[in-house]
Amino acid sequence: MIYSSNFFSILMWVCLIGLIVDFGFQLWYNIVDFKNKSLW
Amino acid sequence: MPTFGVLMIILSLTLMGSITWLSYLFSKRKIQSSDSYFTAGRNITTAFMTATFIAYAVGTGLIFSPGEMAYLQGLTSMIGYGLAISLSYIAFLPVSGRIKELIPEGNTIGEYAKVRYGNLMYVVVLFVSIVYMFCLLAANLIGAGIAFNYIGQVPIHIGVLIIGVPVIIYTTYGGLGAAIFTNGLQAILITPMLFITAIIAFKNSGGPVAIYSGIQEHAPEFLNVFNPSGMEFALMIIIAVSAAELLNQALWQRVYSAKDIRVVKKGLLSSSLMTFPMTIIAASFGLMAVAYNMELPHPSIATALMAHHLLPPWASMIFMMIVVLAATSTASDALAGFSSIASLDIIKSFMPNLAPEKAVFVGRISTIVFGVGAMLVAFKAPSILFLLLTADLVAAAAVIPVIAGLFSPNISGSAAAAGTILGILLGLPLFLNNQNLLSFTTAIIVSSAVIFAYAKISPAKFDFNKLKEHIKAVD
Repeated sequence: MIYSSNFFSILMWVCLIGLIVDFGFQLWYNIVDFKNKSLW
Repeated sequence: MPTFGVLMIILSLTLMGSITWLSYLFSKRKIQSSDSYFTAGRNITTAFMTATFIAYAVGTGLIFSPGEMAYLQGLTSMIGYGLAISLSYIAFLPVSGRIKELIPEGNTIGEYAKVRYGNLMYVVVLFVSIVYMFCLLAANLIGAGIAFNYIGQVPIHIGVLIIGVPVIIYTTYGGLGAAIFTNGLQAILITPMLFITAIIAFKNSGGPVAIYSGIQEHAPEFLNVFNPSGMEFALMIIIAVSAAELLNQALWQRVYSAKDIRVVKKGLLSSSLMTFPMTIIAASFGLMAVAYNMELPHPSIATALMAHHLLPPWASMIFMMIVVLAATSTASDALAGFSSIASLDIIKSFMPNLAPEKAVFVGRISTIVFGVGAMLVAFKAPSILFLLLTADLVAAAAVIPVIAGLFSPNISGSAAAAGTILGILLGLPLFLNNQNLLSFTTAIIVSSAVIFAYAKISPAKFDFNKLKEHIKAVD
Protein backbone atom coordinates (compact mmCIF):
# COMPACT_ATOMS: atom_id res chain seq x y z
CA MET A 1 0.00 0.00 0.00
CA ILE A 2 1.38 3.37 -1.08
CA TYR A 3 0.72 6.80 0.44
CA SER A 4 -1.15 8.76 -2.20
CA SER A 5 -0.08 12.16 -3.44
CA ASN A 6 -3.37 13.56 -2.08
CA PHE A 7 -2.75 12.14 1.37
CA PHE A 8 0.74 13.65 1.42
CA SER A 9 -0.51 17.07 0.27
CA ILE A 10 -3.35 17.12 2.80
CA LEU A 11 -0.98 16.09 5.62
CA MET A 12 1.45 18.88 4.77
CA TRP A 13 -1.21 21.60 4.43
CA VAL A 14 -3.08 20.52 7.57
CA CYS A 15 0.18 20.63 9.53
CA LEU A 16 1.03 24.07 8.16
CA ILE A 17 -2.40 25.35 9.18
CA GLY A 18 -1.83 23.57 12.50
CA LEU A 19 1.16 25.82 13.12
CA ILE A 20 -1.03 28.92 12.79
CA VAL A 21 -3.59 27.40 15.17
CA ASP A 22 -0.72 26.56 17.59
CA PHE A 23 0.46 30.15 17.54
CA GLY A 24 -3.08 31.45 18.08
CA PHE A 25 -3.53 29.21 21.13
CA GLN A 26 -0.16 30.24 22.55
CA LEU A 27 -1.09 33.93 22.23
CA TRP A 28 -4.50 33.33 23.80
CA TYR A 29 -3.05 31.38 26.74
CA ASN A 30 -0.48 34.12 27.31
CA ILE A 31 -3.08 36.88 27.30
CA VAL A 32 -5.20 34.96 29.81
CA ASP A 33 -2.20 34.13 32.01
CA PHE A 34 -0.91 37.69 31.96
CA LYS A 35 -3.57 38.41 34.57
CA ASN A 36 -1.78 36.06 36.96
CA LYS A 37 0.20 38.81 38.69
CA SER A 38 1.82 36.45 41.19
CA LEU A 39 3.48 34.67 38.27
CA TRP A 40 5.14 37.84 37.03
CA MET B 1 34.40 32.14 7.22
CA PRO B 2 31.58 33.31 4.85
CA THR B 3 29.49 36.41 5.62
CA PHE B 4 26.51 34.14 6.38
CA GLY B 5 28.52 32.42 9.13
CA VAL B 6 29.59 35.73 10.65
CA LEU B 7 25.99 36.97 10.60
CA MET B 8 24.84 33.70 12.21
CA ILE B 9 27.26 34.27 15.07
CA ILE B 10 26.23 37.91 15.54
CA LEU B 11 22.48 37.21 15.44
CA SER B 12 22.77 34.15 17.69
CA LEU B 13 24.77 36.09 20.24
CA THR B 14 22.22 38.93 20.11
CA LEU B 15 19.30 36.53 20.50
CA MET B 16 20.93 34.56 23.30
CA GLY B 17 22.10 37.76 24.99
CA SER B 18 18.53 39.12 24.98
CA ILE B 19 17.04 35.89 26.32
CA THR B 20 19.71 35.69 29.02
CA TRP B 21 19.09 39.32 30.03
CA LEU B 22 15.29 38.90 30.17
CA SER B 23 15.72 35.67 32.10
CA TYR B 24 18.03 37.45 34.56
CA LEU B 25 15.44 40.20 35.14
CA PHE B 26 12.70 37.61 35.68
CA SER B 27 14.80 35.43 38.00
CA LYS B 28 16.05 38.40 40.04
CA ARG B 29 12.49 39.22 41.03
CA LYS B 30 11.20 35.68 41.38
CA ILE B 31 13.88 33.79 43.30
CA GLN B 32 12.66 34.34 46.84
CA SER B 33 13.36 30.88 48.23
CA SER B 34 15.13 27.64 47.42
CA ASP B 35 11.77 26.14 46.47
CA SER B 36 11.38 28.81 43.80
CA TYR B 37 14.80 27.82 42.39
CA PHE B 38 14.00 24.10 42.15
CA THR B 39 10.24 24.14 41.46
CA ALA B 40 9.55 27.70 40.22
CA GLY B 41 7.46 28.52 43.29
CA ARG B 42 4.81 25.84 42.40
CA ASN B 43 2.77 28.57 40.77
CA ILE B 44 3.04 27.94 37.00
CA THR B 45 -0.21 28.45 35.07
CA THR B 46 -1.49 27.23 31.71
CA ALA B 47 0.34 29.50 29.23
CA PHE B 48 3.77 28.83 30.66
CA MET B 49 2.96 25.17 31.27
CA THR B 50 1.90 24.66 27.64
CA ALA B 51 4.85 26.69 26.37
CA THR B 52 7.32 24.79 28.49
CA PHE B 53 6.01 21.40 27.32
CA ILE B 54 6.21 22.61 23.70
CA ALA B 55 9.65 24.18 24.04
CA TYR B 56 10.91 21.11 25.88
CA ALA B 57 9.75 18.86 23.01
CA VAL B 58 11.01 21.25 20.34
CA GLY B 59 14.70 20.69 20.77
CA THR B 60 17.07 19.51 18.11
CA GLY B 61 15.45 16.12 18.83
CA LEU B 62 12.36 17.50 17.07
CA ILE B 63 14.00 19.81 14.55
CA PHE B 64 16.71 17.36 13.35
CA SER B 65 15.93 13.73 14.31
CA PRO B 66 12.50 13.41 12.56
CA GLY B 67 14.11 14.93 9.45
CA GLU B 68 16.99 12.48 9.77
CA MET B 69 14.58 9.54 9.96
CA ALA B 70 12.40 10.86 7.12
CA TYR B 71 15.57 11.14 5.01
CA LEU B 72 16.72 7.63 5.92
CA GLN B 73 13.40 5.73 5.99
CA GLY B 74 10.55 7.79 4.57
CA LEU B 75 7.02 8.81 5.33
CA THR B 76 5.95 6.12 7.81
CA SER B 77 8.84 6.82 10.15
CA MET B 78 8.14 10.56 9.87
CA ILE B 79 4.50 10.08 10.92
CA GLY B 80 5.68 7.68 13.64
CA TYR B 81 7.98 10.35 15.03
CA GLY B 82 5.14 12.91 15.10
CA LEU B 83 2.88 10.42 16.89
CA ALA B 84 5.65 9.45 19.31
CA ILE B 85 6.13 13.00 20.59
CA SER B 86 2.38 13.63 20.86
CA LEU B 87 1.50 10.28 22.43
CA SER B 88 4.26 10.55 25.02
CA TYR B 89 2.45 13.58 26.50
CA ILE B 90 -0.88 11.72 26.41
CA ALA B 91 0.77 8.76 28.18
CA PHE B 92 2.09 11.15 30.83
CA LEU B 93 -1.42 12.49 31.61
CA PRO B 94 -2.54 9.80 34.11
CA VAL B 95 0.96 9.58 35.56
CA SER B 96 1.12 13.33 36.19
CA GLY B 97 -2.21 13.19 38.06
CA ARG B 98 -0.92 10.41 40.27
CA ILE B 99 2.37 12.25 40.96
CA LYS B 100 0.53 15.44 42.00
CA GLU B 101 -1.86 13.44 44.19
CA LEU B 102 0.75 11.31 45.97
CA ILE B 103 3.70 13.74 46.11
CA PRO B 104 2.36 17.31 46.23
CA GLU B 105 5.59 18.67 47.71
CA GLY B 106 7.99 16.72 45.52
CA ASN B 107 11.15 17.98 43.85
CA THR B 108 12.74 15.12 41.90
CA ILE B 109 12.00 11.67 40.53
CA GLY B 110 14.90 10.33 42.60
CA GLU B 111 13.34 11.14 45.97
CA TYR B 112 10.20 9.26 44.89
CA ALA B 113 12.31 6.21 43.95
CA LYS B 114 14.11 6.37 47.30
CA VAL B 115 10.98 6.47 49.45
CA ARG B 116 8.99 4.08 47.30
CA TYR B 117 11.69 1.50 46.56
CA GLY B 118 14.73 2.07 48.78
CA ASN B 119 18.37 2.77 48.07
CA LEU B 120 19.16 0.26 45.29
CA MET B 121 16.37 1.43 42.96
CA TYR B 122 17.19 5.00 43.98
CA VAL B 123 20.71 4.57 42.56
CA VAL B 124 19.35 2.88 39.42
CA VAL B 125 16.82 5.70 38.81
CA LEU B 126 19.48 8.35 39.40
CA PHE B 127 21.75 6.61 36.89
CA VAL B 128 18.96 6.42 34.28
CA SER B 129 17.92 10.05 34.85
CA ILE B 130 21.45 11.41 34.68
CA VAL B 131 22.30 9.42 31.50
CA TYR B 132 19.08 10.69 29.92
CA MET B 133 19.61 14.34 30.92
CA PHE B 134 23.21 14.24 29.76
CA CYS B 135 22.40 12.71 26.35
CA LEU B 136 19.54 15.18 25.90
CA LEU B 137 21.76 18.16 26.68
CA ALA B 138 24.63 16.91 24.51
CA ALA B 139 22.24 16.12 21.61
CA ASN B 140 20.90 19.67 21.64
CA LEU B 141 24.34 21.22 21.75
CA ILE B 142 25.44 18.95 18.89
CA GLY B 143 22.40 19.97 16.84
CA ALA B 144 23.32 23.61 17.16
CA GLY B 145 27.03 22.89 16.61
CA ILE B 146 26.58 20.96 13.36
CA ALA B 147 24.07 23.48 12.05
CA PHE B 148 26.62 26.27 12.61
CA ASN B 149 29.30 24.12 11.04
CA TYR B 150 27.57 22.89 7.89
CA ILE B 151 25.49 25.98 7.17
CA GLY B 152 27.78 28.82 8.19
CA GLN B 153 31.17 27.05 8.13
CA VAL B 154 31.56 28.03 11.77
CA PRO B 155 33.72 25.53 13.72
CA ILE B 156 31.52 23.14 15.75
CA HIS B 157 33.03 24.15 19.07
CA ILE B 158 32.18 27.82 18.43
CA GLY B 159 28.55 26.92 17.69
CA VAL B 160 28.38 24.74 20.82
CA LEU B 161 29.86 27.51 22.94
CA ILE B 162 27.49 30.18 21.54
CA ILE B 163 24.53 28.04 22.62
CA GLY B 164 25.99 26.36 25.68
CA VAL B 165 27.46 29.29 27.60
CA PRO B 166 24.36 31.56 27.77
CA VAL B 167 22.12 28.59 28.64
CA ILE B 168 24.43 27.58 31.44
CA ILE B 169 24.52 31.19 32.70
CA TYR B 170 20.78 31.80 32.89
CA THR B 171 19.88 28.31 34.12
CA THR B 172 22.59 28.42 36.77
CA TYR B 173 21.27 31.73 38.02
CA GLY B 174 17.51 31.18 37.78
CA GLY B 175 17.01 27.39 38.00
CA LEU B 176 13.70 25.90 36.85
CA GLY B 177 11.90 29.27 36.87
CA ALA B 178 14.42 30.65 34.35
CA ALA B 179 14.07 27.54 32.18
CA ILE B 180 10.25 27.80 32.14
CA PHE B 181 10.27 31.57 31.57
CA THR B 182 12.67 31.28 28.61
CA ASN B 183 10.64 28.32 27.30
CA GLY B 184 7.69 30.72 27.12
CA LEU B 185 9.70 33.15 24.97
CA GLN B 186 11.19 30.38 22.83
CA ALA B 187 7.89 28.60 22.12
CA ILE B 188 6.11 31.75 21.02
CA LEU B 189 8.99 32.66 18.69
CA ILE B 190 9.60 29.19 17.22
CA THR B 191 6.03 28.56 16.00
CA PRO B 192 5.62 31.53 13.61
CA MET B 193 9.26 31.28 12.49
CA LEU B 194 8.78 27.61 11.57
CA PHE B 195 5.61 28.50 9.67
CA ILE B 196 7.31 31.27 7.66
CA THR B 197 10.32 29.15 6.70
CA ALA B 198 8.20 26.08 5.89
CA ILE B 199 5.80 27.98 3.64
CA ILE B 200 8.72 29.49 1.67
CA ALA B 201 10.44 26.09 1.43
CA PHE B 202 7.23 24.50 0.11
CA LYS B 203 6.82 27.31 -2.44
CA ASN B 204 10.44 27.06 -3.62
CA SER B 205 10.36 23.27 -3.85
CA GLY B 206 7.21 23.32 -6.00
CA GLY B 207 4.83 22.30 -3.19
CA PRO B 208 3.84 18.93 -1.71
CA VAL B 209 2.96 17.37 -5.09
CA ALA B 210 6.45 18.12 -6.48
CA ILE B 211 8.08 16.80 -3.30
CA TYR B 212 5.97 13.63 -3.60
CA SER B 213 7.06 13.19 -7.23
CA GLY B 214 10.71 13.65 -6.24
CA ILE B 215 10.44 10.95 -3.57
CA GLN B 216 8.67 8.67 -6.05
CA GLU B 217 11.57 9.14 -8.45
CA HIS B 218 14.49 8.73 -6.04
CA ALA B 219 13.18 6.45 -3.26
CA PRO B 220 9.73 5.01 -4.11
CA GLU B 221 9.96 2.52 -1.22
CA PHE B 222 9.77 5.52 1.17
CA LEU B 223 6.12 5.99 0.11
CA ASN B 224 5.18 2.44 1.07
CA VAL B 225 2.91 2.57 4.14
CA PHE B 226 4.18 -0.80 5.38
CA ASN B 227 7.83 -0.23 4.47
CA PRO B 228 9.35 -2.70 7.03
CA SER B 229 12.18 -0.48 8.24
CA GLY B 230 9.85 2.54 8.46
CA MET B 231 7.21 0.56 10.40
CA GLU B 232 9.84 -0.85 12.74
CA PHE B 233 11.24 2.59 13.39
CA ALA B 234 7.77 4.11 13.90
CA LEU B 235 6.86 1.50 16.53
CA MET B 236 10.24 1.74 18.21
CA ILE B 237 10.22 5.53 18.42
CA ILE B 238 6.71 5.56 19.94
CA ILE B 239 7.91 3.14 22.65
CA ALA B 240 11.24 4.93 23.08
CA VAL B 241 9.95 8.49 23.42
CA SER B 242 7.02 7.50 25.65
CA ALA B 243 9.30 5.53 27.97
CA ALA B 244 11.81 8.35 28.17
CA GLU B 245 9.23 11.05 28.87
CA LEU B 246 7.45 9.10 31.59
CA LEU B 247 10.75 8.92 33.46
CA ASN B 248 11.97 12.34 32.60
CA GLN B 249 13.00 14.52 35.55
CA ALA B 250 12.24 17.61 33.44
CA LEU B 251 8.57 16.56 33.12
CA TRP B 252 8.23 15.45 36.76
CA GLN B 253 9.68 18.81 37.78
CA ARG B 254 7.01 20.58 35.72
CA VAL B 255 4.25 18.64 37.47
CA TYR B 256 5.67 19.80 40.82
CA SER B 257 5.94 23.38 39.55
CA ALA B 258 2.31 23.61 38.39
CA LYS B 259 -0.28 25.59 40.32
CA ASP B 260 -2.63 22.59 40.24
CA ILE B 261 -3.22 19.38 38.31
CA ARG B 262 -5.69 21.05 35.90
CA VAL B 263 -2.84 23.23 34.66
CA VAL B 264 -0.65 20.18 34.00
CA LYS B 265 -3.41 18.32 32.18
CA LYS B 266 -4.35 21.32 30.05
CA GLY B 267 -0.67 21.92 29.24
CA LEU B 268 -0.05 18.28 28.32
CA LEU B 269 -3.16 18.00 26.12
CA SER B 270 -2.49 21.29 24.33
CA SER B 271 1.17 20.56 23.71
CA SER B 272 0.37 17.03 22.59
CA LEU B 273 -1.82 18.47 19.82
CA MET B 274 0.57 21.33 19.05
CA THR B 275 3.79 19.33 18.72
CA PHE B 276 2.42 16.96 16.05
CA PRO B 277 2.29 19.53 13.20
CA MET B 278 5.61 20.98 14.34
CA THR B 279 7.30 17.57 14.09
CA ILE B 280 5.78 16.77 10.72
CA ILE B 281 6.76 20.14 9.24
CA ALA B 282 10.32 19.86 10.59
CA ALA B 283 10.57 16.29 9.27
CA SER B 284 9.25 17.30 5.86
CA PHE B 285 12.62 18.98 5.21
CA GLY B 286 14.15 15.48 5.38
CA LEU B 287 11.67 14.29 2.75
CA MET B 288 12.54 17.31 0.60
CA ALA B 289 16.19 16.21 0.82
CA VAL B 290 15.10 12.78 -0.52
CA ALA B 291 13.13 14.45 -3.32
CA TYR B 292 16.24 16.48 -4.25
CA ASN B 293 18.45 13.36 -3.96
CA MET B 294 20.74 15.28 -1.64
CA GLU B 295 23.94 13.73 -0.29
CA LEU B 296 24.50 14.50 3.39
CA PRO B 297 27.85 15.05 5.13
CA HIS B 298 26.30 14.21 8.56
CA PRO B 299 23.19 12.08 9.17
CA SER B 300 21.57 14.67 11.45
CA ILE B 301 21.93 17.66 9.15
CA ALA B 302 19.18 16.87 6.58
CA THR B 303 16.71 19.43 7.92
CA ALA B 304 19.10 22.37 8.25
CA LEU B 305 20.92 21.70 4.97
CA MET B 306 17.70 21.38 3.01
CA ALA B 307 16.31 24.55 4.58
CA HIS B 308 19.49 26.39 3.64
CA HIS B 309 19.31 25.01 0.09
CA LEU B 310 15.67 26.01 -0.48
CA LEU B 311 15.37 29.28 1.42
CA PRO B 312 16.65 32.76 0.56
CA PRO B 313 19.47 33.86 2.91
CA TRP B 314 17.22 35.93 5.22
CA ALA B 315 14.79 33.00 5.66
CA SER B 316 17.65 30.54 6.11
CA MET B 317 18.89 32.82 8.89
CA ILE B 318 15.43 32.65 10.51
CA PHE B 319 15.65 28.85 10.32
CA MET B 320 19.04 28.98 12.03
CA MET B 321 17.49 31.06 14.81
CA ILE B 322 14.83 28.33 15.19
CA VAL B 323 17.68 25.87 15.71
CA VAL B 324 19.25 28.16 18.29
CA LEU B 325 15.94 28.61 20.16
CA ALA B 326 15.10 24.91 19.98
CA ALA B 327 18.50 23.81 21.22
CA THR B 328 18.59 26.31 24.07
CA SER B 329 15.06 25.58 25.28
CA THR B 330 15.58 21.86 25.73
CA ALA B 331 19.17 22.32 26.94
CA SER B 332 18.05 24.61 29.77
CA ASP B 333 15.32 22.11 30.74
CA ALA B 334 17.92 19.33 30.93
CA LEU B 335 20.25 21.54 32.99
CA ALA B 336 17.50 22.55 35.43
CA GLY B 337 16.52 18.89 35.79
CA PHE B 338 20.07 17.83 36.53
CA SER B 339 20.58 20.71 38.95
CA SER B 340 17.77 19.33 41.18
CA ILE B 341 19.00 15.75 40.91
CA ALA B 342 22.59 16.71 41.78
CA SER B 343 21.68 18.90 44.71
CA LEU B 344 18.55 17.32 46.23
CA ASP B 345 19.32 13.68 45.43
CA ILE B 346 23.05 13.12 45.19
CA ILE B 347 24.60 15.68 47.55
CA LYS B 348 21.72 15.56 50.03
CA SER B 349 22.22 11.80 50.34
CA PHE B 350 25.66 12.49 51.80
CA MET B 351 24.64 15.68 53.66
CA PRO B 352 21.04 15.14 54.86
CA ASN B 353 21.02 18.44 56.78
CA LEU B 354 22.04 20.53 53.78
CA ALA B 355 20.54 24.01 54.29
CA PRO B 356 18.11 25.21 51.54
CA GLU B 357 20.39 28.07 50.42
CA LYS B 358 23.38 25.68 50.29
CA ALA B 359 21.23 23.32 48.17
CA VAL B 360 20.78 26.14 45.65
CA PHE B 361 24.54 26.80 45.65
CA VAL B 362 25.24 23.10 45.02
CA GLY B 363 22.60 23.08 42.28
CA ARG B 364 24.33 26.01 40.59
CA ILE B 365 27.80 24.43 40.70
CA SER B 366 26.37 21.13 39.36
CA THR B 367 24.69 22.97 36.48
CA ILE B 368 28.04 24.41 35.41
CA VAL B 369 29.91 21.08 35.71
CA PHE B 370 27.18 19.17 33.84
CA GLY B 371 26.94 21.82 31.12
CA VAL B 372 30.69 21.90 30.53
CA GLY B 373 30.81 18.06 30.37
CA ALA B 374 28.03 17.99 27.77
CA MET B 375 29.80 20.66 25.71
CA LEU B 376 32.97 18.53 25.66
CA VAL B 377 30.96 15.57 24.27
CA ALA B 378 29.20 17.86 21.78
CA PHE B 379 32.56 18.96 20.34
CA LYS B 380 32.92 15.38 18.99
CA ALA B 381 29.47 15.59 17.30
CA PRO B 382 28.17 11.99 17.28
CA SER B 383 24.73 11.32 15.68
CA ILE B 384 21.95 13.07 17.61
CA LEU B 385 19.53 10.26 16.96
CA PHE B 386 21.95 7.58 18.20
CA LEU B 387 22.61 9.56 21.37
CA LEU B 388 18.91 10.09 22.08
CA LEU B 389 18.03 6.46 21.35
CA THR B 390 20.76 5.21 23.71
CA ALA B 391 19.26 7.34 26.47
CA ASP B 392 15.74 6.17 25.53
CA LEU B 393 16.76 2.51 25.77
CA VAL B 394 18.07 2.94 29.30
CA ALA B 395 14.80 4.70 30.19
CA ALA B 396 12.73 1.94 28.54
CA ALA B 397 14.16 -0.64 30.94
CA ALA B 398 13.23 1.47 33.98
CA VAL B 399 9.89 2.92 32.93
CA ILE B 400 7.47 0.14 33.93
CA PRO B 401 9.14 -0.57 37.32
CA VAL B 402 9.12 3.14 38.22
CA ILE B 403 5.65 4.04 36.95
CA ALA B 404 3.95 0.84 38.17
CA GLY B 405 5.18 1.75 41.65
CA LEU B 406 2.93 4.82 41.58
CA PHE B 407 -0.16 2.69 41.06
CA SER B 408 0.51 -0.71 42.64
CA PRO B 409 1.58 -1.16 46.27
CA ASN B 410 2.76 -4.72 45.57
CA ILE B 411 5.96 -4.00 43.65
CA SER B 412 9.09 -4.23 45.76
CA GLY B 413 12.32 -2.24 45.46
CA SER B 414 14.55 -5.24 44.85
CA ALA B 415 12.27 -6.53 42.06
CA ALA B 416 12.14 -3.06 40.46
CA ALA B 417 15.94 -2.74 40.53
CA ALA B 418 16.50 -6.32 39.28
CA GLY B 419 13.97 -5.85 36.47
CA THR B 420 15.54 -2.57 35.35
CA ILE B 421 19.13 -3.84 35.41
CA LEU B 422 18.16 -7.05 33.58
CA GLY B 423 16.22 -5.01 31.00
CA ILE B 424 19.28 -2.82 30.32
CA LEU B 425 21.67 -5.81 30.19
CA LEU B 426 19.51 -7.70 27.68
CA GLY B 427 18.35 -4.71 25.64
CA LEU B 428 21.66 -2.90 25.18
CA PRO B 429 23.53 -5.61 23.19
CA LEU B 430 20.54 -5.92 20.83
CA PHE B 431 20.50 -2.14 20.39
CA LEU B 432 24.22 -2.01 19.64
CA ASN B 433 23.60 -4.82 17.13
CA ASN B 434 21.10 -2.54 15.32
CA GLN B 435 18.05 -4.60 16.39
CA ASN B 436 16.33 -1.43 17.53
CA LEU B 437 12.69 -2.47 17.97
CA LEU B 438 13.68 -5.81 19.51
CA SER B 439 16.01 -4.07 21.96
CA PHE B 440 13.27 -1.74 23.23
CA THR B 441 10.59 -4.42 23.49
CA THR B 442 13.06 -6.74 25.25
CA ALA B 443 13.99 -4.06 27.79
CA ILE B 444 10.33 -3.34 28.56
CA ILE B 445 9.03 -6.93 28.56
CA VAL B 446 11.88 -8.29 30.69
CA SER B 447 11.64 -5.55 33.32
CA SER B 448 7.82 -5.84 33.43
CA ALA B 449 7.92 -9.63 33.69
CA VAL B 450 10.37 -9.49 36.60
CA ILE B 451 8.42 -6.93 38.67
CA PHE B 452 4.94 -8.40 38.11
CA ALA B 453 6.05 -12.00 38.68
CA TYR B 454 7.77 -10.97 41.91
CA ALA B 455 4.74 -8.92 42.99
CA LYS B 456 2.54 -12.00 42.53
CA ILE B 457 4.88 -14.23 44.53
CA SER B 458 5.76 -11.76 47.25
CA PRO B 459 3.62 -8.56 47.34
CA ALA B 460 5.35 -5.60 49.00
CA LYS B 461 2.19 -3.90 50.43
CA PHE B 462 3.66 -0.39 50.30
CA ASP B 463 1.78 2.36 52.14
CA PHE B 464 1.42 5.31 49.70
CA ASN B 465 0.99 7.78 52.59
CA LYS B 466 4.73 7.42 53.21
CA LEU B 467 5.40 9.42 50.03
CA LYS B 468 3.56 12.46 51.42
CA GLU B 469 5.14 12.01 54.87
CA HIS B 470 8.75 11.79 53.67
CA ILE B 471 8.86 14.02 50.59
CA LYS B 472 8.71 17.70 51.48
CA ALA B 473 9.46 21.01 49.78
CA VAL B 474 13.05 22.24 50.15
CA ASP B 475 12.33 25.27 52.37
